[in-house]
Amino acid sequence: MNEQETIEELGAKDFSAEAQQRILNDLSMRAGEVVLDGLSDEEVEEYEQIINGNQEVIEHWLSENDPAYQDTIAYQQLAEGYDEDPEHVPADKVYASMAWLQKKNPDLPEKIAAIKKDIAANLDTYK
Amino acid sequence: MSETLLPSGVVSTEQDEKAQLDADYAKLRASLDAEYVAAKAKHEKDVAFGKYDTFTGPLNRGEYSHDSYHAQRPSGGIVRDGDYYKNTETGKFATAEEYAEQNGPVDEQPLDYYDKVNGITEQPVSETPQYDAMEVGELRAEAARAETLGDRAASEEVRKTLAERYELMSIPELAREAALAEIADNAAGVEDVKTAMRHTVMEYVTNPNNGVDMSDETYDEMVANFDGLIDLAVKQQRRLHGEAVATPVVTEVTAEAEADEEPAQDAPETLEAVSQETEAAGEPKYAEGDEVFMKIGDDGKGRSEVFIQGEPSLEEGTWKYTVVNAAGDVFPLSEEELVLSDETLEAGNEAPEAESEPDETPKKHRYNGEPVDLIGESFMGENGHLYQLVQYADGSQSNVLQSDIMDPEAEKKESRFAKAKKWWKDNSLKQKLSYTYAWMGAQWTIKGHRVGEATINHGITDEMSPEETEARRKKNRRTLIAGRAAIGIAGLAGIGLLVTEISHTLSHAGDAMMTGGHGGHTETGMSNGGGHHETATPDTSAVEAAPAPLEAQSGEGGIALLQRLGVEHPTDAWNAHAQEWLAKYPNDLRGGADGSVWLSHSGLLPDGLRDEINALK
Repeated sequence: MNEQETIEELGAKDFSAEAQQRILNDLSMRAGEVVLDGLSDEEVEEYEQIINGNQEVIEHWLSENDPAYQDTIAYQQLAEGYDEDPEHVPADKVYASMAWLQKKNPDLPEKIAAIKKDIAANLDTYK
Repeated sequence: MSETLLPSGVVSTEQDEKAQLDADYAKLRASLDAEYVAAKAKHEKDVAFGKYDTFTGPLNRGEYSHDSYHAQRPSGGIVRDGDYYKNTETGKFATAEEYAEQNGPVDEQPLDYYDKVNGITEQPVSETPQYDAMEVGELRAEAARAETLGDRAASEEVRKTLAERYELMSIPELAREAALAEIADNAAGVEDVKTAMRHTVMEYVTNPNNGVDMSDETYDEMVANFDGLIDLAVKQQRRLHGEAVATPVVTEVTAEAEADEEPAQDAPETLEAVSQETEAAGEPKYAEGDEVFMKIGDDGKGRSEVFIQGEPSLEEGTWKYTVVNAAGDVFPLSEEELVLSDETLEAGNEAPEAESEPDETPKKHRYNGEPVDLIGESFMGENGHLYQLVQYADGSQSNVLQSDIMDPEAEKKESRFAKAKKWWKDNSLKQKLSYTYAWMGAQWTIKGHRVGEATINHGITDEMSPEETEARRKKNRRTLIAGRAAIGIAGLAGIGLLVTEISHTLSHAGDAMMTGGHGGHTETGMSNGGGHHETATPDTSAVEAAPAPLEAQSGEGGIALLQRLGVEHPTDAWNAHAQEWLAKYPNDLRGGADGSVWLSHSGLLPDGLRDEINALK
């Protein structure tokens, strides 16, 4: 689901671009807060290291938790556009960041759905 | 009046002293006045050159100020002092080389400093893109990127460059560009293309050499035609991108009914002839906008996706269609040259049931592409392979390798992975963007935010210390990245896939390994082709171990892989087969714009690829 589809799902299709941007940013921030909530300082630090591209931490976590990660469709697709990506964002960093969150949040889809539901119920506040 | 005896012996009176004092005073005053004038002139010069200028502009809340920069700046080390360098710890002079060595590359950009301070590491500062040197596809990607980042200046620059390219394109190319902009919800891009298109049409109708009617009506008519072409191209692109498009219902209008629409235009004899011809040919199977496949290759077994353009015409008892392929080429094909899908339903076979109710009957297992029923439980042959008795549609039965049977769940899984692949194609760049400096930097000034509302500064107040501000910003960045990743994970979950799920090609290979591996069955003497109509018993006399799974080593390229496996002339072999393998194993190989192909990952490779490589030995 891309951003426009998310906006449509939330019922904000007719909102101004500015309001839509606020909704998307709020959704992102609230989603981030929910999935990082309740984690220990050590876990948060580990995630921080992963998103900062600490290769040692990334490789260690992947080898311990997802040794076959290079065989996943997610990693392969993330790696596929590497050459065309002007920023050359390493696929293993993005993959590890997502896999890490998924592992720490088995009920992640439900959490995101709840946030979307709440935003949809309070759309007027974004106008 | 007192008298004072001076050293010179001259008697100094009080009056003399006063005169002396006045003289000293006048001299001192003149000196001070001169000093004042000089100092004043210097001050005015300093003021004029901005020495005492200060700026207290509206900084973003929590943004670095000069003071905060100084506060965090290391106090030790070598600093520059005018034309000299000094070691602040020892107080001794230092060399320029020592200073440069301490400070790193001399072309270090301010953004590098930001990266170090803010903890965003390994994010190379992107150079200003050279739009003029880019292909149209690259420019399109740059335009989308600039739009995503809210970078209005870059967006304008890319649009300008694209507009120049549009002026050089043909009308079909422009239609395709407009369609791509349309499906990307890029209204400005669509308008740019249409502008170029109108210019092209105008040049065409005003060129006397073209011999066209130079009236406004002609121009309007051509523009309207091209708008229709854009609509068609949009439909095509939506299909190519896997988006839902309302499939035009196959017309129920018979040739007789069509004839009824314009009875005055045709003589009764002609109508009858058309009616008879139509009756013989039947109704056209495809309608405008339908996605079909053209047969290719000498044996006609190859498939290439095309779209029906316009209404079909009946010629000599055969329906003829105008089709357009993914490259935008338009050409005619007869109904016999088209098939409905890239699998089994071919034109001339039973009519498709696209308009009927969804098939509620459970899907059957398939063996060699044919639907089969499983009879009883699978069993293990003496060669250690698992076999399954299956029954074909005509009632005949055969024992086949269980690993060669495609079950309905596997087909569903295949579809799920196809969806996942599309999802990643649409979203991988956006997921990656969250981690880039450029995107995060854009959160400071992104349009739609008032000062202080930028996401990265969420929760920062004026009362916070610089340390607290930094900690908060770091947390915001972490939260924002996690949030966007979480939304992505939820999106994947929506199509029933985990981030950590193994791709289907490799999963299938893994299944094969678990069941003893396929590929060895043809060597068991068991019939799996024309003999399937007879019940066969597995020949268990020749037990052969399945070939070892093929694994690419880390950093190993395709040619190196062939060389390691003992293929003669590995470079020639790779060049000869790489494109074919790329088409078959797109999850395991990658192709470049220059036609080169390489392995997309190390580790396990598909058994099919292993077998094809082994066949080259």
